[in-house]
Amino acid sequence: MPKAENLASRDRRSVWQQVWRMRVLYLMALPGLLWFAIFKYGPMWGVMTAFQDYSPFLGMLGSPWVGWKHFQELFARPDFWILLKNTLILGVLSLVIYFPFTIVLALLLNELRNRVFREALQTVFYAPYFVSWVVIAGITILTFSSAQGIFSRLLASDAGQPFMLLNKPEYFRITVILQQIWKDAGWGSVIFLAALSGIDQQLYEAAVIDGASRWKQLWHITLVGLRPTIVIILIMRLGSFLDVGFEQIYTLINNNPLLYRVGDVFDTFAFRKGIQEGMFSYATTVSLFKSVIAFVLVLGANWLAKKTGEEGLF
Amino acid sequence: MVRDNSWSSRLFDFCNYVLLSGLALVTAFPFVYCVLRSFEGSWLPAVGVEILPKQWSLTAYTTLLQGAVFPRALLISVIITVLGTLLSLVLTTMLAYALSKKQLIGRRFLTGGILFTFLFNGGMIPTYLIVRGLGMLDSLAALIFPGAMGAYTFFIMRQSFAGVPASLEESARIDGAGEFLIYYRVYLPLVKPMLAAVGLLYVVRQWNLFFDGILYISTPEKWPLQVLVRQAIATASSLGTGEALSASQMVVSPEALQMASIILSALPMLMLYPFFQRSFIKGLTLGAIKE
Repeated sequence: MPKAENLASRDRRSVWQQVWRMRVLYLMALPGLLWFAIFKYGPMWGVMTAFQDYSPFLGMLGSPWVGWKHFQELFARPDFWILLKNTLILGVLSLVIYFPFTIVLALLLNELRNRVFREALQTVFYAPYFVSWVVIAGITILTFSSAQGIFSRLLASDAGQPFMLLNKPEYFRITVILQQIWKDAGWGSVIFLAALSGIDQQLYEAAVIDGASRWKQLWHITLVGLRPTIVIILIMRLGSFLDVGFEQIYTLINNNPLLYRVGDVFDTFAFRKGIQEGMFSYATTVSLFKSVIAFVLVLGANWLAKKTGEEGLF
Repeated sequence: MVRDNSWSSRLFDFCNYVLLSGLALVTAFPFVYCVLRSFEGSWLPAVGVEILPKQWSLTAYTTLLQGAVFPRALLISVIITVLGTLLSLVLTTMLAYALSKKQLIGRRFLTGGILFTFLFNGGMIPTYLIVRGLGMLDSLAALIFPGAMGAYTFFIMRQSFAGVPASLEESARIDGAGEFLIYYRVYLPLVKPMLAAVGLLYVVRQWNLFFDGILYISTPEKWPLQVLVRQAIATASSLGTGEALSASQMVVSPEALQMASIILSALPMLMLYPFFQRSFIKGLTLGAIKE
């Protein structure tokens, strides 16, 4: 039905027409969009409680505003600096031990020429990724930190006292990192293995003809080919730098006050203060501080990656 | 690949085999040890390097599975795994399908909104308050909805939908198929490998769910399996009956019970993943490696 109308309104109508024509697509997207709105954007709105003296009776809209008070209190508390220190130490250890470990594991697996053997090993290395932190912590406790545990008995003191790993704060951090390697290193190497299989084989053939040793090939071809992937994974890891897994730490600390000094991180602290002691505003401030720093870290890492000429995430 | 057969290169290969095999043994040993100790039927304390049970027995397993507590938690974990995975897949695939259409108005804005949640989140407490506000606390819904989707799975799903050739869709349209039918009949079958990979990610997530369990569930009768196993290890309460028993009343050593509960909670995933390993890896790497 042709009608004489000015262009602008026709354009606007055509947009609405297009939307109307694709209404089924919008309907299909709706449940998922609602989920993101409620469970991801809802909490962002709830971040307001960090600037309020939140009380469950008054709710989010009724609680009084206190501005930066919680942040000032947070920075003034010795707890906070312990948390920050613990989180940073675990983050750095994970970055300098666990992360390179995944790359080296991928490189070594890639050098295996026997396919069957390689796949069998990979299956073993991936296995722990598929069990929960409860299981990992459970095995750790039952072997290293119980009277009956095999390593507790083998490492017993001269007086016959079994070795209790979780009563020794000095071993806590290395335990966390070793657990991380045990559980996730195999899985973490998958991405690098995939990148390695994508490197052009002709480069190696040409290098061999030029007389390059295996070592030289590794240095000049393999690592150069891996660089973009390493950068991307590094950005992602920096974003979750403060995210030393709640489940891992929580299942290991086991409400043992001996370990708070070395093991408490932002998430476990927020859980204890907020959920168990009901200090919602204070706990939210702790989490918010964490989220903001993580955000800055990702953007910073991405910017750095682009500076060095690699593709960033976005 | 051209073989380098020099002496040093062969030595490296040999060392590499030995090193990786050793590492695999170290990786597997704790699980093997756990399995073996769970069959221990004797109460005598272990001495030295004792790995094999002194008395082979299935008592730990029968005690667990015939008790009141363990089977219930097992059932709850099965329920939240099945329902949670289905919900997650429906939400993720429908959203990813719609947003993979280039002509969709507002697509960039919506995708950007989802990407942003990858970078910034409100954190534990505000999420808890939302779940509480929805009246989900202490219900199985709290174990299914809050973690139903992730930005990452959404992106790899969208990418695989975008890779389906448009010609297939056009021929279906000519035959008069509507949008939903095209998604269901044309697109879903074509992204099956990715569907399996993403589905398995969700299955593993739901089965191993622990944090949401302690955060949202306060009634012990509604605990999923991981929370129960955790309690059994952290406190010396008996898994057989749900209340602490004196040693004399128990038919099997607490250590064997704890080991058996660990094995039972880990076993389903350990048996499942080797079958999906290939599609799994394909799915994960497709999302992360830029062409």
